Amino acid sequence: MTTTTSSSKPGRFRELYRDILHRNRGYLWLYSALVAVCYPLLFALEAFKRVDPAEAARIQAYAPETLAQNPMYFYSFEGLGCNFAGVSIVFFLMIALLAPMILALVLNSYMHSKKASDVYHAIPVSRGTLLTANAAVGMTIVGLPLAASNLFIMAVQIAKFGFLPDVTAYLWLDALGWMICGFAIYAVTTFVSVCVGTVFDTFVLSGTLLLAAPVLSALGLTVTELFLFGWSAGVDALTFVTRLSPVTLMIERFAIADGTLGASSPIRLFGPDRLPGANLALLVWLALGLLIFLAAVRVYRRRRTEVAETTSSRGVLQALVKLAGTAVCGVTAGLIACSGSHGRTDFLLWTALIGALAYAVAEVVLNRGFKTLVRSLPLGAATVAGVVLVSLIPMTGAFGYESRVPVPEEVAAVEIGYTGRYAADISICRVEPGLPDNGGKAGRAVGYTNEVLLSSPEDLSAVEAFHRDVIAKRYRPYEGITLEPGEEYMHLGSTITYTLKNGRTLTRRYEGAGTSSIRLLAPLETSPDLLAQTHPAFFDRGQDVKKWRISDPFGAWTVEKAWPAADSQALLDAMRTDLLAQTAEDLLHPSDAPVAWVTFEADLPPEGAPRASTSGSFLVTESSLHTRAFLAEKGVLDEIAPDLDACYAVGVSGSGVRYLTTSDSAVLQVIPGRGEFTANDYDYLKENVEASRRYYAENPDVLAADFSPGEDVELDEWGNAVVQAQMAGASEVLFEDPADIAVLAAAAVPSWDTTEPVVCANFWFRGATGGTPVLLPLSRLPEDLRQRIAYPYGVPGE
Amino acid sequence: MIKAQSLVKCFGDFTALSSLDTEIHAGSIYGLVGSNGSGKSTFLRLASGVYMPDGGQVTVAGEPVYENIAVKERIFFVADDLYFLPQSTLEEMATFYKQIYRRFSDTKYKKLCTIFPLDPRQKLGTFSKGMKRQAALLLALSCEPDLLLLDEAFDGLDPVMRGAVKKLLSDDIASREMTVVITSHNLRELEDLCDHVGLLHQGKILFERELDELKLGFCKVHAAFPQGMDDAALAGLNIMQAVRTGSLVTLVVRGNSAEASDYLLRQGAVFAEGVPLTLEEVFIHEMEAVGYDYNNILF
Repeated sequence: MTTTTSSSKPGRFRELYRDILHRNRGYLWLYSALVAVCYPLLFALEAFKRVDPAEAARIQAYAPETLAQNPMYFYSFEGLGCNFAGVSIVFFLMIALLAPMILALVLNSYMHSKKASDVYHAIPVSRGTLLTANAAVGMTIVGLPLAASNLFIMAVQIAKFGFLPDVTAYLWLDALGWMICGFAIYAVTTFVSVCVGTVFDTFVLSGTLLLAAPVLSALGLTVTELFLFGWSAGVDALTFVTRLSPVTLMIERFAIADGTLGASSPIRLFGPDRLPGANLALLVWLALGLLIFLAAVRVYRRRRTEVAETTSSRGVLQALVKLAGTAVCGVTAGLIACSGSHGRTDFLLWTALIGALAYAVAEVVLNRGFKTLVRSLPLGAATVAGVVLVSLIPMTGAFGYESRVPVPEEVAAVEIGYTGRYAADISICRVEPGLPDNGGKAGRAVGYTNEVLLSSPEDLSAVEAFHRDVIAKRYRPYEGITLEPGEEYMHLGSTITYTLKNGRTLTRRYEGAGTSSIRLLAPLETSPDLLAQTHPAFFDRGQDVKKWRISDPFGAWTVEKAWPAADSQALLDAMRTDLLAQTAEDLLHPSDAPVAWVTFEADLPPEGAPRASTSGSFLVTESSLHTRAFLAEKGVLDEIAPDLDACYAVGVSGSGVRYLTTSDSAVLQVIPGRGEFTANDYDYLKENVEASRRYYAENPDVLAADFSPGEDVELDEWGNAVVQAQMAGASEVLFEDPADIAVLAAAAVPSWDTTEPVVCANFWFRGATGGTPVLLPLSRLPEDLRQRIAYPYGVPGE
Repeated sequence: MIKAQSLVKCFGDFTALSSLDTEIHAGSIYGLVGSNGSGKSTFLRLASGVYMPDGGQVTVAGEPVYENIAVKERIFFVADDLYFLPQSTLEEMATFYKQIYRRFSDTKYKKLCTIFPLDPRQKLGTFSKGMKRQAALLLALSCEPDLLLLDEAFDGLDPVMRGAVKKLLSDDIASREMTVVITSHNLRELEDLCDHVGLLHQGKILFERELDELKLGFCKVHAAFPQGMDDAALAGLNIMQAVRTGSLVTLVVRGNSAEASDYLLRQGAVFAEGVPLTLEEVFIHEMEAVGYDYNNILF
């Protein structure tokens, strides 16, 4: 077949473009008006709002660097280009994403009318030219208002806040992004237009195609996370989902922090490190949009005109839509159905049932009737079966995914979300130099971390043992967990990422584990690698330390010191040496007693650092030779030495142990600052204990009910372990006999095995205003004291 | 001008044209008749490049039409069901076609605007069916195509306007050698306009002839025999149809009407006179001659 194109094709294209644009100028004005109201107008209202002069003067006087860093400090702008104000993001997002689809439906609607296609397909214009001219008009209608709005916003930004190169660049980069997304949406809708016969089908099919990928992926991630043990959708998966469709592509950019302005600038969900990926995604969608549009032109050239006004439930697109409808509706129903019970049978049953119903509805809608419904049943059944089978993959372990644990020999390094006993209440961050946050002395914290990278064979073996144990015990709260008596389920939120020697990675995430599994990580507590990454003594510098605080192990006496940088560094070095000298057994079952708590506050290094913390602590024991020597040399130990003779009471309780200690660590240790008490608390406790004693004496039945030790451990709705009956030792017990106090003080330990029962004790000293709890393992107490702790108001029935 | 060879067009399971062969010469005005669903409109859409053939080919001036801009530049198709751009006026439609058809003649457009009683600035949506048809023909003629394809062109036109349109078409054919293909299910509409006619039935050209040749082959004669007559008296005529109403006999015979009248007068008729055959009658007898029951085809 000879195909001839007119020699004056460009001229004809121009004329056709002008004519179509002229005929559709109404849409241009309408869209422009909508964009103007939702975008530049709202921006202008925010940019020209009244700023409280007193507040402005205050900031100018006390923190001029704040305004230098962020000229938009008083205004709430969103987006990388700081070009959206308040709800304008939502409105603009809806308008900008709907407009290309609506325009494609309108401009291509002629091919869905027999009458119109008689004219358009008979005139001497090639179908490719026709489609391209329409697309050019569509993009003009979308692009002109956006360009005009951005020019206005840029002018306002420059006039009001000065020229900010980053902001202006982002403004236009995002504009390009909107155009690319608009074009991709237009291209997809156009492709569907040329494949089907009605505007309604185009709307339904293109809408489904545009949303199917992110929605199905999100549902897939949810199902996998729900049923596949060890798998978790990370930030990468979330960004991947948003990049699957031009409809969701720009949403990710709103969530990226630009890093150039202050805290009031864009939403800081993702860091700026996501920006190159987001930009690349835009380029990929530009290429995809072009390819889809070229495919549309190619299909259109061979499209049968008589398809106009016809409907069909058959075809590749229709099959895709039915599959997507079946999967989305079925899986959503399955997820809702199993949200309470987490039952796999519930999930599968409802997925199949609602999936089948959705397929039937899609068949009827696409075919405008029931004629083909019976004939399509086999395909429908196959589709539903396919969805159910895919859902079964995560339920059945995803071909060995759940049980895969690399042996240490094939692992180069492992990153694990386990920070040990000293990082419980501190924030370890990466520090970048920048304008000071605090009087010109501190750096800027970016990228907080709670994961450590380990590579020694001992560490790898410990992680492997933990990993295998977790898999064997399969801690899924909603599936039921079998815990050993006395064991507890602890929330971890721990991610394990193995870097294998072959360069590949293997990542697993476990939300929690029993204390018996966590105990297997005890060797990490003395790992030089872990300590170097989690204990501030290894990365903070003496020159940045502002203040030291040293207290006795009971928290009764505290002294504050501000030593010179050299002394601070020496103390940090001493702590480091003592930490490295400890063994796991020293920590799990220490034979020495706690001597003092050392804590400090520090500035972040102004020149930046890969790792730093603004605070740190160290529990000095009798074995901490270097630290003790430093403190002794400074005379501090004498200042805080506790006089046990002055102790007039001890309150013991097992109920708050998990809160007061590093309970998600293999080693239990009191967290400094937690559970501080005052002298007055003694009076309250004494009063409560006596009231309880009277109550139980009068109500022996209640005593029997409250103090019958439970054996079965079950999880509450948040996955926390609870006992069915109240556990012995849950009530606070008061000891005032000096002999008892001496025994209790002698039993105090710096740390203990997380799998063994412990209680916390508050020691009240005469002359002290308060104190902090200490750890008492029950195994280190004599039987009579253990009995009194378990049954403070007498053994029921005796 | 148009040549169709083994042309096939299917709509799903239905075959609208099955191996259609025909040739329409330049400068002719070709009437295509056929019952509803016989494939007339489909043929025009194939000839105008709206449809893509499923088999065979249709060429205009020796070139395939589908997606051939140079050929389509010479063709204008006026569909049965008319379409104008939404909210447009005649003037706007003229502008639209002027940008697309290089040969659009402003002079002719203005001249035709004086012939057709239409307000160029009035929205076409407010026009009556006949006025819309006039507007479509006005625009088509303004584009000065070499090949004008008209689907049920006279549908909705009043007799005066039909006459005007026929004259305009004849003028263009005479002055520019324009070729016109016009479809209708009503032969009477075409008989004083077409020089060729073709009958389309079940997707094939069943029959096509030059109109003059067609009409010359038959004649219709009325004769009166007050005293009666024998069938033997008519034995000398090649009779296609004979109807007796009392003493009056109406005959359709092959040959010349003057010779048939003379023969009947010689057989004792007091009155014998040739009357013109309608195109429909010619078709009926011609098709019966080739073995088809015309009534089952057209009506």
